[in-house]
Amino acid sequence: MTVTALPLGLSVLLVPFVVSVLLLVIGGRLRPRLLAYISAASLGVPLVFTSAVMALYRSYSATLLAVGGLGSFMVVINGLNWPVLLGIMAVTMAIAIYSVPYMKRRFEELGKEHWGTYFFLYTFFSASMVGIVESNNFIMFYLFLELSLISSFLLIAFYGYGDRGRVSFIYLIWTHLGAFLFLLGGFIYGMILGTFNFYPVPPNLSSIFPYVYVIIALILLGLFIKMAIFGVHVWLPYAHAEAPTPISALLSPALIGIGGYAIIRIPYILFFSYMIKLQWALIVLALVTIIYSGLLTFHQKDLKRLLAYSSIAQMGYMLLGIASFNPLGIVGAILQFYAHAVGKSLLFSSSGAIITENNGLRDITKMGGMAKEMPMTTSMAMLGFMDISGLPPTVGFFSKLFILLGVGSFLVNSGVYGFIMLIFLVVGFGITPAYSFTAMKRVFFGPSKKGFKDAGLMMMAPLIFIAILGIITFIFPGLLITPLYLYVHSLMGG
Amino acid sequence: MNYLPYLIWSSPFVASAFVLALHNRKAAGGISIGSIAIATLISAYELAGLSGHPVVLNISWFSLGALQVNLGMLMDGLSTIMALVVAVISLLISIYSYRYMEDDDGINRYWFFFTFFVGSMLLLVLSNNLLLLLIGWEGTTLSSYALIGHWYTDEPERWVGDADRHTLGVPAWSTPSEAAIRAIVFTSLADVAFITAIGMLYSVSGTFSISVLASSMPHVLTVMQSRGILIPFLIAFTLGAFAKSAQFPFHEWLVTAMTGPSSISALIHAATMVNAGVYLLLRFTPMFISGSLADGLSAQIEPFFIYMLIIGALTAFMMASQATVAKELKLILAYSTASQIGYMFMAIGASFFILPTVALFAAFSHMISQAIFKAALFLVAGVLIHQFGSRYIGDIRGIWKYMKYSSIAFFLAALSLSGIPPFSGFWDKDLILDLTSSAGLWAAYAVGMVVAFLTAFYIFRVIVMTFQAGPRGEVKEAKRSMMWPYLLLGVAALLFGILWPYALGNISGRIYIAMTFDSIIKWVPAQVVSQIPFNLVMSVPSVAVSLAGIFLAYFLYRGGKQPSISKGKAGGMFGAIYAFLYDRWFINAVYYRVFVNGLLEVSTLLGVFVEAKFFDGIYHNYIPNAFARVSGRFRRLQSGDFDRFIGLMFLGLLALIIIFLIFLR
Repeated sequence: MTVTALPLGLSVLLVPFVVSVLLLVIGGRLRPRLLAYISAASLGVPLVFTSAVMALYRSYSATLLAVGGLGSFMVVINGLNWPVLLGIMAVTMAIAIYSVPYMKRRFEELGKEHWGTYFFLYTFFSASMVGIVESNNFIMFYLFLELSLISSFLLIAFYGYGDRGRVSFIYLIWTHLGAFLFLLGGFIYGMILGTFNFYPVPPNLSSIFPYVYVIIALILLGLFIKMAIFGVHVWLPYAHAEAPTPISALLSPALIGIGGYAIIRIPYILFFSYMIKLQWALIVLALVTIIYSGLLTFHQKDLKRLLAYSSIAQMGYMLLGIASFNPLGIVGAILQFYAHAVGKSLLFSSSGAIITENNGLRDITKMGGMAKEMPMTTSMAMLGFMDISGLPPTVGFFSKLFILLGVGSFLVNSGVYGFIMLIFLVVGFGITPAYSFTAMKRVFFGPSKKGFKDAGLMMMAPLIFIAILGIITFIFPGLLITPLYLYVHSLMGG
Repeated sequence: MNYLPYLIWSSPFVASAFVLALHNRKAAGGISIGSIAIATLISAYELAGLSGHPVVLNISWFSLGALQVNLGMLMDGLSTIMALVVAVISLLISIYSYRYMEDDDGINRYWFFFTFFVGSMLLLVLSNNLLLLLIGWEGTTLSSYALIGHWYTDEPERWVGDADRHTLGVPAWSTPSEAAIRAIVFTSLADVAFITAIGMLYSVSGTFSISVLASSMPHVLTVMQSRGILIPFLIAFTLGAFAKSAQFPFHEWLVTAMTGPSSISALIHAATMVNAGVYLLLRFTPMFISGSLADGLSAQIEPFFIYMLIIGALTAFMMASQATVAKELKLILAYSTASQIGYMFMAIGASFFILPTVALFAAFSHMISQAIFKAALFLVAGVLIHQFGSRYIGDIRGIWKYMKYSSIAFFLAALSLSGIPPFSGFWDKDLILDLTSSAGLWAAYAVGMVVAFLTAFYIFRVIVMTFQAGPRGEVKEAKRSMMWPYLLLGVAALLFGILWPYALGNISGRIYIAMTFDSIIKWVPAQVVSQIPFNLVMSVPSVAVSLAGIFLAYFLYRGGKQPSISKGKAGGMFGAIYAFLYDRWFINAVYYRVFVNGLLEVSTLLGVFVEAKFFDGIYHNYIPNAFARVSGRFRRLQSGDFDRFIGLMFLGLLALIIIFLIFLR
């Protein structure tokens, strides 16, 4: 076992963890707003570091320690996970601030204030998501995944809505089932290869190929549960609808999307020639996920549940991009993570603004005509829906664009069958603007009703920050796409 | 390098950013009008400076590996003339809007999306890059959504359709917020096919650049043909254009799109949005034709053009027929737009069969004519609806008496729409009809003639009904700043027509056409233009049917009378025909019953049975219960019996040892 000096990347990653514990200790003594600023600032440290690394070097990796039989533990930043990291870090930073007015209201409802605990869990959760994405190794990946699951479970169990005991339990069981299957796949991988590294690719990778389908099956199933792909999606609407809204805004786009990132990072890159045999199955699964959950959004009365089903559909998009097995599609899938992080956090936060300002209002049938009295919330929700529908000037335009370009590049080679698929594609991609703008109408438009109140600056400023970030990355897509494409292209050579 | 042309599309975008940032009611209109004026001046300047060759400008944007994606601009006759038309008409509409919208609550939102709309349209017209074009394309989708639904509080006076009428059980009216959804959903659906086809195009050609595609199109078509997907590819690629331009089966969104302010209707119907689809086809059809000829694929590509002819003719006829019975002023104009665009699609379809340059030119020219007279008609309609407080033509009376200038503008525009010489609408409609007959496309020709008759009839029905005397006290002429834009447009419809034959001779070097075999995008030399046939004998019938339509309208509606069929009171067959036309061929009702309601039904079924009963039932009830039962059995093991525990412990150890042995083997 060799321990190198603590590398910069890792120490940067550890900052929010350390700060989170600090927040727990001093939480009772500081004003909530200050806690939020500390939390956001600590999450900003890795963001600044990652951005600087990308601007200067375009890739970074540092080894913490190498253990014989386990492989090496590294912190990895490159074109592939850069958009994912940016999405997670920017959203978690902004939502930390947003949490203050929202949780103030929630604590009033609960009758007790836990600012220290909340920000400890929040920061811990956010930092562990960053850790998952920067890890290179099954064990490290699982470790951070587990940390994120436990912290998010506690956030739901402590501060959630409805039957939060049951919901958090459902969440715990499902996500652990996913994590366990994933770990099992990684375990077989590691036992055979003598290393748990998935990056860099182990030189003796071919010795695993006799067992490859078992490993692929376990890992994919585990990650599908994480992503809430059709068939194993049932837990998501419970958890994401009943979580306190700032946590929904992180769970829904960021945490589940990591599943999609991991599919690309692990089985896709390692077992490309095997995965491609599953192409049609993955495409069908993706389209079924998109259309099924898209249809179910129309059935929802609860705004947050509607958004939760929409998240499932967005994961379907991500899977579709992956299933195109084409560099453009992969670029689209990773951009989709980022765009969904931006869009869905805007949407959940907007629904949170409605909830806080209007006595816990979540029932869409009681909404309508809010636009006049809640112009800011309306604008932010509109930007969110534009983002998930792929309309400019939001970055969602590029994610949908590249996914479709990738799928088109695939379909052009599949003759007439491709055009049968195109019909389902049209339905699948058409359904998002349909439910999005129907929801806009149901919630905000129609005859004006009195008595709604728009949220204050503390709540809206973080959303404006996220929205502007989405627009900046739309205007300068090269910030994300150029390094991403270079990386994907070097892997796939196509 | 010359960066000036970038200002054409970026200045409206910058203006929209300013409108948003300043959030100042007073400044918003001025900033917007100014930015569109800049766009107009620069496009005029660029048009004047164009030489015989297309100009391609590039600013690097981002890279996809080796491929550099540029903020590319393509300035040739087609795009530059188009940009000028878009900018000029938008400018006039924006000047009109300044007064028209000045008291509106959402004035900042209005100007924000107005300039965004104009900027998107100019971007899509001028871009030399399909990705950039798509941004403009989707930008128009977004802005049309926002502007159609501008009055999102859905007051009944903003609705379109009769508020108590049901067709096959489906409400026959649309609120602004609903019309907005219709627009965005119809266009987005088709855009999915469009974008996917761009992906196909890219994977075969390796480029998004339009000027590069022009030369690689033969290769692309050959590859598509070899994979047996030539026609499906072409249909997918152009599907977005069909939806944008409101052709069947996507026409329904345009019909209800007038829930927005009238100035926005003018913008959508004349300057932006619907013209985008025609523009895309004008841009790519020459490539398809020359590409197919170069590789001997003429026979294989022919069905695509027949399809375009059929859709164009069907839409032209369908919408004109519905316009003959409609009661709402703006609804009639909306039908008219889709119908006129049907003519353009017919011309583009015919371009494969005869004189491609001339046919495409005819479509382009008709688009410009349509833009001019339709903008005028909608702007006048906005004033009329406001003055008379009703959107129904039955309530509008005596406009000739009280509103001379508006009447003149409306009348001039109507003559152009009817195809009466020497208005511009005459020249290009006649040319389209002439081409279809010369090509032996007799069915298309016949439909075109019928539509010409119907067009003259429905628009003069409006004129006869609204011009006749009727005492209405409070009606007065529009404010001058609102009036002169449409008066100018009305006069332009006449002037453009008078100049039309001369223009072709004299400034032909500036007129686009895109069809030669050695280079795709090329200026039309004077001799090609002089080949544009003008056949006096052929134009007699088309003028005759238009005049017949006018006379029929006069005969039926003069002196304030209305035939019983027009009131919807006729019985029997006439009543049935009336209902069929008035209810938009039942297409809307069928869409709602089959697709919208079907979708909601399926959603409910899935939600109740699959999601709740099946998935939730299995995962969250059946499996946990099963575990509970199993755990109940296990609980019996915990009997507290020491011997038993020891026994179980040894069993467990044994199992572990066996597992270890297997692994260490």
